[in-house]
Amino acid sequence: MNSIPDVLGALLVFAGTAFAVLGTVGLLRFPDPMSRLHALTKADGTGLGLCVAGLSLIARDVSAAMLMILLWLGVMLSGATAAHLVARRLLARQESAGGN
Amino acid sequence: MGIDAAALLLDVTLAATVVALGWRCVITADRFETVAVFIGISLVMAIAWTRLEAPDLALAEAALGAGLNGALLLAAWAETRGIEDGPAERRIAGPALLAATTMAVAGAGLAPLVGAEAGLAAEIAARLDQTGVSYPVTAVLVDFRALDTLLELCVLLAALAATWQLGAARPLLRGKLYGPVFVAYVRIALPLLVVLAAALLWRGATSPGGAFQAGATLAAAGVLLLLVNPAGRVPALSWAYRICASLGVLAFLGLGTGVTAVTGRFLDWPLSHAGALVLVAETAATVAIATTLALLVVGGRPVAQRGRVGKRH
Amino acid sequence: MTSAGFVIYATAGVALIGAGAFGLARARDALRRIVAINVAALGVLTTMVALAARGGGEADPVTHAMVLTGLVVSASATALALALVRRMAHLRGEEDADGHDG
Repeated sequence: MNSIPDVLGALLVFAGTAFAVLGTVGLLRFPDPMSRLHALTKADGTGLGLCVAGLSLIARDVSAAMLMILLWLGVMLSGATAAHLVARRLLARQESAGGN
Repeated sequence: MGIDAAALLLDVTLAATVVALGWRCVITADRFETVAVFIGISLVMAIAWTRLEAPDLALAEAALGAGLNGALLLAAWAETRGIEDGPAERRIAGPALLAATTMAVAGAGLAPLVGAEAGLAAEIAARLDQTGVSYPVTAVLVDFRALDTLLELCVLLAALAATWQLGAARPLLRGKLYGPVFVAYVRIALPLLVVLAAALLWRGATSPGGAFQAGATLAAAGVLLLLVNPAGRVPALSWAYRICASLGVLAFLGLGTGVTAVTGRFLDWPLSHAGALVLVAETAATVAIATTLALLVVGGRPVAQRGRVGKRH
Repeated sequence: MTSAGFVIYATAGVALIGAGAFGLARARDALRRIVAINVAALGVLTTMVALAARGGGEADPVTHAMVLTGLVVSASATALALALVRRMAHLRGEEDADGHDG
């Protein structure tokens, strides 16, 4: 804890963790599955991005930073696709329930 | 001193999370929640094992435990919905007594080991130059205990053969899962998974990785292919499946017997070619593990379907 | 890994073994019992990993290799058990649809 990148990195990691916690709060508190999907995907993705940014600053290693950014992109891609698939199924269930 | 307290807090939090998830998993009556929480505990366990200086085990647990086991459990959950079976649970007294006894016995067995020194790390490190690899766990798996790995591949193959006896494969999905977004995602993810598997296999010689992690990643790619196919159908059973699934056992047996001519012992790789032999054996094992695990997710013997696969939209 | 770390994770492992035993005995549904067995397996493997990390030096690679083998074997056993469960459910579904053993 003795230089600007370290402090900034720690702040970013803290902010990222806060976003992840907010995502869980949204999961627990939002009324229906669709809005919970919003909370999870967006908050967790942003939280992970902030954590990656902070850890890259602390590590001060370009290759590690690039690896972490690749991981973050992978998580965003998979998370978005998974949320899309869940939402498709929810929509289909809503339509069949509404039609009956 | 501050670092130690933070690490301790992290460890306590991780351990408490794992235990809480485990108990939640077995206590809940909702079958889907059981499966979902189990996938969660597998992932948190991977992090815990990283804390315990076992990164390659964490890789394997995330891929096999959370990924493949999760896919298997979800497939089984989907096929067993709505099956009524009588009263859902037995009374609490018996199971609680069993749990308490088991924990007491385990705790009593572990208590004397708290202060004892750890095992064979030094001995393995001293003999690493006798193997073709420089990473201790890989060296133990494919050189010192290659027989264990061979038998493990046999167990996988036996599980697949037994599953094939149970009946024909049933389509995994009742409706259309895939849409343009999912197909596009698989187009991006599949090559990445293959490259990742190859990287894990290659790096296994010098850093965490190896045949099992690579095989599980490749199996995940196979499951993605299965899901993209309409109604989750697989092409009919052919010799390709059989050869790919047996490749690991065949390679270890064949190479292991072959080196008997050089070194006189089964599976005793000669030092001059140990690296190359290990790589060949591990590659064969990766292909075998990937094929076997993906076919286990299918859950039955792939048979010829009426109509063409992939024709309908 | 300090002694405290070993105790923490070994205790977690034992607690998971207990959870698995409880779930195995309590549930009647095959899927839940298979999951309970897997939870107990996770507990056993965690205890082994904690044992491997004892002491001040490197972690014990032989124990790690055993845990990895255990992971793969338990995945195979789970796969076979689930295939049995799926097959039974399929047969029971056919039986219900036909009204007699079909």
